[in-house]
Amino acid sequence: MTHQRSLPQSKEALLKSYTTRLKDDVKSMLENFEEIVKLAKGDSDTQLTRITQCEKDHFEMHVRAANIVRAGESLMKLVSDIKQYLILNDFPSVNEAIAQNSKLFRTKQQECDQKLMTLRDDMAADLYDLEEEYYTSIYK
Amino acid sequence: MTAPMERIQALDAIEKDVINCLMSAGQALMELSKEKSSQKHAEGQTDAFLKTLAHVESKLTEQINYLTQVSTGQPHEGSGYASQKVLQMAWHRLEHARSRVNELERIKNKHLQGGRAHVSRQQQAALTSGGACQQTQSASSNVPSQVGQSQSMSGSTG
Repeated sequence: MTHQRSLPQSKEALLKSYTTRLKDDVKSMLENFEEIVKLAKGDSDTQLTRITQCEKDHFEMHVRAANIVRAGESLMKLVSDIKQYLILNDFPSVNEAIAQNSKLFRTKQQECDQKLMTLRDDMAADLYDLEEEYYTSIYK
Repeated sequence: MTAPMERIQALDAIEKDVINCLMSAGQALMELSKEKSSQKHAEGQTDAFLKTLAHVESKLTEQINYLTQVSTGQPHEGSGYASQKVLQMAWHRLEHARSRVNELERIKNKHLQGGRAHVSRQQQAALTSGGACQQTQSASSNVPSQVGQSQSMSGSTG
């Protein structure tokens, strides 16, 4: 079920640009790979000499391979941008992370205070004996 | 595994898939470049490349659709500062109690050392005074015996 949200124009444009970048990069990778495989077939029926045709195919393969790598790097950058956007704008996750941290901190604080209370009770018991010893001694 | 980390880890997996996709493409083209290329191997690598690329596209589209649904455009103003401060104050209380207990320990050790030094001085004093008394007693009683000893020694040597 999709909800219609009125996003600010900038955010909407940003998300649309992510979709466009994804489609363009995938299309680029597919097309360039396909063209390299077609070049590998080798076409003997051309107007150029064999050597020239080989040089041309060689150069074209280089360029297309570089295009595939560039599209791959562009996809990696896109993933990085999506991660950044997720950390900043994914409210359910941020709320959950904050709630989890708050719970952890409060649990630790309760443990600390409980240990302090135990220490206080032990020292009060020892102090009772020490006071009795002191006030019945000659040093009072 | 918490929900915030799950999505980040899903994106990490997508990154790895992109790298695998490029590697499959490279392997497929390398196989084609060999003199005796195996068609089966080249086709397998090409299938892997196409399948991984489709998977990457679908997962990224899913993530972008989720972000379109949940993002509001407003900055998040929540924070865990309050509970963090509460924990910090509890830690300070603990450190204060620790420092006081260490101070008590130090005072106790100081008194114990002072007590031991006092006892050892008393013992030494007792020994020296007792030894002096014994010496004076032995000096008065041993003079005839010493004379007797010297006479017997001279007798034996002579």
